[in-house]
Amino acid sequence: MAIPEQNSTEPTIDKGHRERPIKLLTFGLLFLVPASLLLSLSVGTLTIPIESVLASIVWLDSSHAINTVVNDIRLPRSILAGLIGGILAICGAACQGLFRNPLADPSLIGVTAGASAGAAVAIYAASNVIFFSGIYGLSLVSLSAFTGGVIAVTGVYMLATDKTGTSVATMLLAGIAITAIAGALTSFIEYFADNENLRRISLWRMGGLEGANSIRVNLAIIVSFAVFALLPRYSSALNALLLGESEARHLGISVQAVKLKLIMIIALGVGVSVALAGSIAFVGLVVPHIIRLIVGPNHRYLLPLSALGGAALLLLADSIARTLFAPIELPVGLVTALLGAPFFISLLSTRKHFGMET
Amino acid sequence: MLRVSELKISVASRTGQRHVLVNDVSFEVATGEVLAIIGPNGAGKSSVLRAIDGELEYSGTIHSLAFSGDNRQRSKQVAVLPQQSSLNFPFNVSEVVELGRMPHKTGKKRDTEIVDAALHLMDIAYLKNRDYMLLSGGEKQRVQLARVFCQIWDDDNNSPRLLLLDEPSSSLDLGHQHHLMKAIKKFAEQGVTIVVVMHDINLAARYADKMLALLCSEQVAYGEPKQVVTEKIMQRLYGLNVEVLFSSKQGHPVLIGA
Repeated sequence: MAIPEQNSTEPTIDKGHRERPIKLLTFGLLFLVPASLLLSLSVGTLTIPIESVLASIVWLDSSHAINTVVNDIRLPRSILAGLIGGILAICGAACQGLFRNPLADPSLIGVTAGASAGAAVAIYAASNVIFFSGIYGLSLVSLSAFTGGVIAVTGVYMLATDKTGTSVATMLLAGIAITAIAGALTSFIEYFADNENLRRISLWRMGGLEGANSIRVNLAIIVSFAVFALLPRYSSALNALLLGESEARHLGISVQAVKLKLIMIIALGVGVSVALAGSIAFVGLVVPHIIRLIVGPNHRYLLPLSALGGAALLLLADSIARTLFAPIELPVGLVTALLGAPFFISLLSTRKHFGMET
Repeated sequence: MLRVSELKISVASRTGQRHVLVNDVSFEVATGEVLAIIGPNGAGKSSVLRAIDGELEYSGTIHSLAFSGDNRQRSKQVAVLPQQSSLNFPFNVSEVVELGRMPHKTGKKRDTEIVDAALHLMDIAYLKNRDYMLLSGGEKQRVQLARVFCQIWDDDNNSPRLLLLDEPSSSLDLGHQHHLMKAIKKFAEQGVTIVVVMHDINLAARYADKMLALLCSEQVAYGEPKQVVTEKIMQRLYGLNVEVLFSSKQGHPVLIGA
């Protein structure tokens, strides 16, 4: 089009101050993730030197005991930590975009509370109704947690959807309501649970990766593969959604379909990670926020970089959880909450309007 | 070209009552023409625009060649500027403008050229790397306008283009108001059909080819500016005694509140 430009200046391919931080952060995270993986394999009750870790991963000469610790005990747990950290963070980033609220968290759509209630039901039922224990008991808890999470999200989605579409503002409120109901159910079960089950339920809710085994790791690999492959397809849709829903529609985005698909992917990712590792706080909130501060809100970079950042953060947090009071292990959710809460408070104090203008 | 006839829009309130937002509105905007919709608050101006862009259900007919094709094709031909923007994330200015190129697959190089040209057109090239969230209201409005212009910048294969702007000049200073209207006229000359909701009668009368006046959901006047901007109609629209003069240079009516 021939609109005359006044003083037509050179059409600079100028991504300005964005391009450098994106590159630096990408390289930094690509280094940080394997580094924190190695660290998490090395530290613990028994500290193994990094070179022995490397040696035993590639089956080189290393004592049998070290092989067992690294490959059979620590590696599944570290892989689970990295994948779940990545899932939580990328889902958090997508959730913040979907709700157009930089302080949104995947637990807002009720999935975490629903999963907690499901887990509580299973823990209680497993000890009372059928005598499930060990591996079967654990997977029953996971399955039930996932079911609880899916039921909660479905409830939230249905409450917020009418014939004109889904209102994300209503979803926030419905999420609070469903979270309250699920919380009440959990409390109800806790009230009737004996001491041992009470402790199991509350430990489960703090989040932990100690249950890592090959079934869980394989499940996490499949789900994270799906989430990491699917969510980035929606980066332009999410960018458009940040402008507003009608603006996104005018840019050719099928808003209602995109919303439904995003909610399904987020529910799958968060539901499975809560089922496998309990509720791990703040990873989904804090990681995308930090990444956004550095690279800006473009989801094309935000989503993959959040996944990497979340993986690194949870690997480091789990290393801390295992070493701080070794041989006692802290629940990893406790560590992420301890790390995340001060950061969250500092966000609240710098952000006056909480991103809730619409 | 855009033809609207017997447009009626009503919405159900929470109690089930139906409120009529727009009743029996008909007008036609030829290709390359600018239509300005005026009227007091709540007259139904934005509702007409939102019915045209497909956000509101309506009865009657709205016809434009720009509506042909699927969602994607349509988003290459129809661009809309809503009254308010809810963008709440720290994109920088050129990133916001570039979102307007999303429906097109013209390649990075061409997109960057168009974004740059649109930034210059809206006189915001110097803001290009600034954080959108930190801009003033008028600057934000110019950024959103540049984004919308980007969306229909080219006509690929002579496809019809439609531009719908809801109070695009509400936050602009006097200089940029005229700057914007001149840019709109340029787009019209390139064959874009344009509907713009405005409160500034003088600005509308100066630049629009036709004007449509709405009052309480009804159409009270439609035609060339000098037919619409009369003392009688303005009195009826705004309940205000006014004096209408004519510009000695352009000949368009000028309103003075009395």
